[in-house]
Amino acid sequence: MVSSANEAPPPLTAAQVYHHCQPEQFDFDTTEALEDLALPCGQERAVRALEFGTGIQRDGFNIFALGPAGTGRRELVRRFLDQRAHEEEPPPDWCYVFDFRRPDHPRAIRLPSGEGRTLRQDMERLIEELRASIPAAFESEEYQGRLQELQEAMARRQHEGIREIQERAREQDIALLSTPNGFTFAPMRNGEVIEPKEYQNLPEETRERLEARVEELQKQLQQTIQQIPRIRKEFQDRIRELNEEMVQFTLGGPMSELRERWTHVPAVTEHLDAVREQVVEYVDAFRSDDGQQAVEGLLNHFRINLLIDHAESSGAPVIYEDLPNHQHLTGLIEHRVRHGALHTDFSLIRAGALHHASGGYLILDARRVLTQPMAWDSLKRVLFSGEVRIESLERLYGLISTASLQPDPIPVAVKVVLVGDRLLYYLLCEYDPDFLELFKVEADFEDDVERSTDAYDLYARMLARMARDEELQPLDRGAVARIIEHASRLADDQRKLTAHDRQLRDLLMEADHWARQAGAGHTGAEHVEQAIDERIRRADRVRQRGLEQIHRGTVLISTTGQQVAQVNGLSVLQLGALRFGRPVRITATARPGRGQIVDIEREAKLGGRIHSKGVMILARFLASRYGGDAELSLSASIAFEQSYGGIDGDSASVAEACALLSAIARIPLHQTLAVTGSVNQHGEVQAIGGVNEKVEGFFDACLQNGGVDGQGVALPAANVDNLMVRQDVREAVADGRFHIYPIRTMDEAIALLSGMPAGQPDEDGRFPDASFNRAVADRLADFTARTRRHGHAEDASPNDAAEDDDD
Amino acid sequence: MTERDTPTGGTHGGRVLALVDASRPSLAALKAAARLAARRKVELVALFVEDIALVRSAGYAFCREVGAVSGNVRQLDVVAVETRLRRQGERARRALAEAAASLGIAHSLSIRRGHVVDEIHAVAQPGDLLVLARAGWSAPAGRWLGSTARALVEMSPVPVMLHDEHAPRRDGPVVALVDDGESARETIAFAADLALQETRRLAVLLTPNADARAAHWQELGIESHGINNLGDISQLQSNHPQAIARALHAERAVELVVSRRCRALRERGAGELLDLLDLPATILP
Repeated sequence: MVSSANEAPPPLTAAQVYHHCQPEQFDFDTTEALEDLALPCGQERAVRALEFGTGIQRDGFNIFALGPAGTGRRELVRRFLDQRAHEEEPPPDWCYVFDFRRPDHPRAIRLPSGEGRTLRQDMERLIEELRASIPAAFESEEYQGRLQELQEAMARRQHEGIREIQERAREQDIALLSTPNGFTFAPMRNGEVIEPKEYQNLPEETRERLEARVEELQKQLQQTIQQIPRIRKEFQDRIRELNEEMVQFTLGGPMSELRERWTHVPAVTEHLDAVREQVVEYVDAFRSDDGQQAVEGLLNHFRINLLIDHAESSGAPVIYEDLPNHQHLTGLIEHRVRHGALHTDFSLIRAGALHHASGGYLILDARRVLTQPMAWDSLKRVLFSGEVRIESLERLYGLISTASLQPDPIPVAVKVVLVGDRLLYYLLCEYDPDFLELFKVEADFEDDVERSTDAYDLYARMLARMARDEELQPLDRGAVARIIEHASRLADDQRKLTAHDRQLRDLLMEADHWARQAGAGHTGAEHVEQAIDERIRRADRVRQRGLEQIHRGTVLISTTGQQVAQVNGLSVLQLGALRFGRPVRITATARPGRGQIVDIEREAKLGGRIHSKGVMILARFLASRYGGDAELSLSASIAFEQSYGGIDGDSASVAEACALLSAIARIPLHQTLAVTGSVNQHGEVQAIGGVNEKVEGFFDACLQNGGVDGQGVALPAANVDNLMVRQDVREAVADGRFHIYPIRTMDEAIALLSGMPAGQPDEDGRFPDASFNRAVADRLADFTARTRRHGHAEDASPNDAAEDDDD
Repeated sequence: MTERDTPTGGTHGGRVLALVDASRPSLAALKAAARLAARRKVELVALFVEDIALVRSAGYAFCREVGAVSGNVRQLDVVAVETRLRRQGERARRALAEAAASLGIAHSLSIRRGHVVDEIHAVAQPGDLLVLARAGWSAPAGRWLGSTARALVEMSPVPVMLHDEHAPRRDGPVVALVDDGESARETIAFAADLALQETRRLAVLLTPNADARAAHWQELGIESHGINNLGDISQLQSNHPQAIARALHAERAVELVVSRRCRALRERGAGELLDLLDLPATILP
């Protein structure tokens, strides 16, 4: 039955206030029989965006997965990427090696995927080989013998040069003497240096000859001594050649084998060559008993630091970094404390999430990235440059300037998926000019999904998967049906099902708990019901206190009789996870005035901006409907009685309008009804939120006030699809004890509340006699007349105004 | 003859003489000598000889000093040499006091001017042990035996211990290089005493033609020194200095004791062998 826009509409039937899901329509006994649903149903838009974002191989096409928290965005993204990555090839391995030419610049080597571990093992084996065979080779008879021959030859050559001069000098009666700083010559006779005084007695010719000889010998000695470094160098070269020969002999086999094996990675063969050179260069350390520490230091330089290892990867990596700070993203260089000082080397370079995710996908929580110092900037820098450079925060901030390692940057190709709220996405779009350059793909997640027969099966499979993921008992079809109904309630829509993964999982886990406690082998509808009830019970202390206050009359709510200028409005409170409705008495006053409607909530600074807007619209609706072309002569006030907290929203504007019209017309309104809805300037009633909680809130208040018998709620007709009310409410509706009226216009609300026809204006704008609107219009006309009179009288005597105030 | 019949170092009756020229190797030798004197509980006498030949050479205007490392030629004069000698003497005194003080041994310093060998002859008494560096001031120019050491090895009336500060640390034995002649018993006894003091093994290295039968060595009474099996006795294939040096290296010997009268030294002289060695060596007269 359809009512006209100014008559009271008929109440909704029980079928209209709840959309049942029949368990019989499912052809399974329990969810155990159902296959997993790979991706949650109803997120086709987001999935398509993910497919596009992961498929396109262009810079900047990173993905921002946006949607409300709890919709399982991250889980869905993870599952999608896992599937995708599984079909892709694992990326290359990376390792750092010591750069013997630039010790502070560890060298990055790219290795075919999975081969890093092999190289690490190869190098470890080579090191073991070196540790065992090099000392053995250098302690061998052969080496020692040849080394000694060389040393003897060198000693001989050094010695012989000076000894020859010494012999030559002796033959010429000249002594070669050692001094603290070198050598000197002196004339000699019979093996004794001649006293200088005696020397003067020698014939001049002899003296001259001796002096010339001394001079000549000095020159020869000088030349001989100056040749010693060259001889030493020559012998060092020969010793080095010998060492090389021994190293070649010892390591020739293993080294050639390694080189052969790694010819496909030239950087590795270069490193092997460098290792070989180092062994030759520092072979003395291997030979010395005191060189153990030096040897270990040297051998450590031969090792590799396997940064990225894909030996066990079967596809591209999918990394989720739950603490995305700068170090965890870009890697870090650790330090060890040794003798009270901090030391580091290439083996202490640690990979970051960007390294690990290179060649694959990195999932990050957008809010966490943004709240970590420098993390967002570091992430952007890597995405712009395509390479990761490991730098500490201290260096980035310029707080420290001590020399440290500067590892080669490692190129990365990573698809970053940021997961975050919609607000965050739009704020980043607005305020970060780089953002859209780097995150061109938005994967927008639905809050809820369409409720249809097709969707039921998918939803059931999704629940089945959740149960398996959480290792819960299977659900029977009744439980599935009840969860679907509850999902509609959570979505506040008979035609939708919530997509909030977290809420559903929580419900499943709680129902499972009650089922197990009851010893049931599977979860049934009653366990789901119990879980829902228990959740409410745990959280409804405040709600119960509110109802108690109504019951005891502390909070005044009338649910019977009629009252002028008083309407039951409905508000919704959200406390933690629980949302519930609470009726509130709205009252109004009206007297002649200059077109002002005082919103007491606003004046007391208890009303929000949307509420104020609602009152302003209401004022313009009154003026437009009843004022005609003349100025509206009204001074009115509206208040939420016993409301001491803040109030916002415009969902009470229909109720406020009714209270005000009742105050103007002095026509009483039914207190058995509560009203919700917002009104526009044309008197149309518009949809509001929290409709189920509001209905149930008034229902509960009626129970507290002596029972439900003919009470009801008038709500916007546009909200009928949102109705998924509680079972006891449904029963009362079915029994005709409680009514829910869908209203489209203010007139329907007025007709319902006053029991009078609202009345449509004729061509002249006059409302019919005995209609509610006529009474309003007449009273306002009276106000206008009084105001005019009062205005003239005021001109004559201002004191007359006090009398009019009493009206 | 009497000196030969009585093992020179075994009785510890004499002193330890340390020949010092204030060079770094000689000061290291002085420390080693101090430790030896402490172990033997005998007096340490540091002997600083102002070489008369050097003083005289400084008196020649045409004589120059050629740097041992750089080869640079510098003027040398008497005043500078005298000053240098005084300073060296003072340094030797300080080093002696320092070395002796830490060990609490009796010590004295004798500063003499003359020829080193003559002065040693003048100072040394039977039973003394002379300790000196392989090379003194000439050490930086090479690792060969210095002229003073060379002369004393040939002519010292008492055992000469050549200290080598650069000797690698080894864990091997004290080696007595002997033939089967009359000096063998004395050499082994000296080496055994040294090994005992330094808690080392004793090993015997025989010259190629020496009688290697165990019975013969037992006759020499060496078992009393802890050599009771042939494992510690080995025989050289050749008397060549290089062969001896390699054998010592193979043994990881920490010290060599040999007599001037040993066939191995008689044939080619001590100098060539000692030039090759990188370990302390004691040459008995």
